[in-house]
Amino acid sequence: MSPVSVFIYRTRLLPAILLGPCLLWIAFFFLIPLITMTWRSLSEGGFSVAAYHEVLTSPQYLKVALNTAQVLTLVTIATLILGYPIAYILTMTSGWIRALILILVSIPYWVDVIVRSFSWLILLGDNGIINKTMLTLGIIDHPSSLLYNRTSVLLGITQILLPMMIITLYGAMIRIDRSLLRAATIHGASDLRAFWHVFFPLSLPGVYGACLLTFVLGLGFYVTPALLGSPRETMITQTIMIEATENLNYEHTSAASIMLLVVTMAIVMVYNRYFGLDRLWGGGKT
Amino acid sequence: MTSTKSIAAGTGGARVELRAVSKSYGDTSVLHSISLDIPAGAFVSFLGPSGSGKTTTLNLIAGFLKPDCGDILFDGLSVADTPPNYRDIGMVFQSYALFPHLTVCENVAFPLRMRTRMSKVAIRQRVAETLELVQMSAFGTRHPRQLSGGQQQRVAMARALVSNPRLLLMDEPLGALDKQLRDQMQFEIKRIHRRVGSTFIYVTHDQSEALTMSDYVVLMNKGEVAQAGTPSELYVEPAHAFVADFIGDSNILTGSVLSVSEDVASVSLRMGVTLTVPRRNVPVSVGQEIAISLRPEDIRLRQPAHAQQGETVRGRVIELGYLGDSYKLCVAISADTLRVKVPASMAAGVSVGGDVELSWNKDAPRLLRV
Repeated sequence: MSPVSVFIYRTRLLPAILLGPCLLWIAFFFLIPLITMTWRSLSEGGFSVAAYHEVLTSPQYLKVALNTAQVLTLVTIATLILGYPIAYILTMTSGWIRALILILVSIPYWVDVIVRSFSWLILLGDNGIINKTMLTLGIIDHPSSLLYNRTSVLLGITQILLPMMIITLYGAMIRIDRSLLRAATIHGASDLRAFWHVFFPLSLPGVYGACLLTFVLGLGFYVTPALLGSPRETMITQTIMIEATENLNYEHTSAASIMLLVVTMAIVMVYNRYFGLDRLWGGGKT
Repeated sequence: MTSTKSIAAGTGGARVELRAVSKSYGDTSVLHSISLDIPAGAFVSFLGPSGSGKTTTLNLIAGFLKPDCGDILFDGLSVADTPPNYRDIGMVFQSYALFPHLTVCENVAFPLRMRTRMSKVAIRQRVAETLELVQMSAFGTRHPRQLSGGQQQRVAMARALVSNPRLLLMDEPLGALDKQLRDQMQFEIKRIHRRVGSTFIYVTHDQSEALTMSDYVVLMNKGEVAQAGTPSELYVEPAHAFVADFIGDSNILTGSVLSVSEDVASVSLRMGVTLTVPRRNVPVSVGQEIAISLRPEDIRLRQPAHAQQGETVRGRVIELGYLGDSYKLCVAISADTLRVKVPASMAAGVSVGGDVELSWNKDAPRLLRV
């Protein structure tokens, strides 16, 4: 052994050496800004929680928060309804069919969010593919406005979050013991009843987890509602952005950001408590 | 739905026939033209090492797999087009496969809810009866995860039996239990078999389990039936070296045939001994290379000082193992070794390195079909 490795062994420095660069990075670019932001949110006119009070009682923030919650609830339901059957098929198939579906599901996932949001502009715009096709076919006389409303925002966010919903559901479903389905079948259940009485109830924890995750990821969406929505569809991140860049109200911005962070963390903690975060990358509780 | 049938009275067991059934996965052939006839109400074990095809055969009977060719018949009728849920089978899985989201009572009620139109009251009563049969009445409201392995096993039995299926399939049901519990459950399962009268098919790789419990044993090897018969037939009259080796312990001795008469064959063994062996209708001819099985417990032990008249073989003890009630010896005879098992009292004074004389009854060695 070289003197250096002896030194590392004796002083048990290895974890520090391995973790150090990453910890430094996180401390410098995440923790310090976060502390600064927290400090700002509390320092409106000396030390006070006035900023929080103002944000919480502001009709504008309330409206945006409600809108955000509504949009994300609808998105979560839509991704669940669209994603559940696909995750189920993924679970039940094997070999190249499963591989093909997985590829089809994950390719859009790797495409940038901005690109995917823009693609909806091309589809739904006044000169977009849908309007042009309908004009050509004579179904409509003049372009109908498909963009900049709640539907277009829903479509965009749903499409972007659907792969995440499918993968998370699949990760939960693949853990369901197949011999349970055989046990149901041999004891008289048709495929449909085996699904309804055994598979579906056992998939519910996965459903709750995937829904929480989809909702949390949706909280951070900025580009998609900004591109596809109108001011009426403004979501919480956009409002924070506008306050920061146009109104330069850093106290409000900081307070709103901290509250968004707390809500997100709370949901993530609930998720971790009941489903285990490590499930997301394949390990963990069974 | 199948028609509602009388649950209270057992309907007897199903006769199960396999006719030239073959199965392969891709290029790997798992079963080669298996034919079996399992009598109604029998307790039959499928015994064999892993990969012998016993679980595949069970899954074919259950209907989880379809045979590539051949036919499976229940009571003389082909079940080729009958899906598993219509086959009137109960099954105990290796992992028990109890529904984790249902209580013990709900698990046991499941086949009744799927198969019959019984009223809730009638279902409750039948579930209670069945739980009593497996001595689990006190646990009806628990969930499977709150039960021990042995208790889960009993619940799995109850679920399989509750709708009085004519055929019960068990896939290594005791594999996960410790030895004491396994011995106890073996007798329980036999008791239940006598009570319900269904045909039981029991898959195991444990030969003592198969011998203890079964009316018939189907010994499988490499996708074929090596030998099927009663436990004593397989033990006393093994047809092949594989059977002699797998059922109990056996010395497999090879040699060539010197002479053949109607009843006996004289065999020159490779260890330098000539033996006269009962033929028992095994076809042999002079000069043929054959194998003989000789069970360790059929060999007697004498020390040279007490040597008597008769056919004896001299050897040197190279290993000696104490088993409590008996001793296990390895005796070297020229280049070969024989395993010997004798009662503890017979082995007094024997030590490693000492010379012994071995003898056996004339009908102890068995000619094996090669």
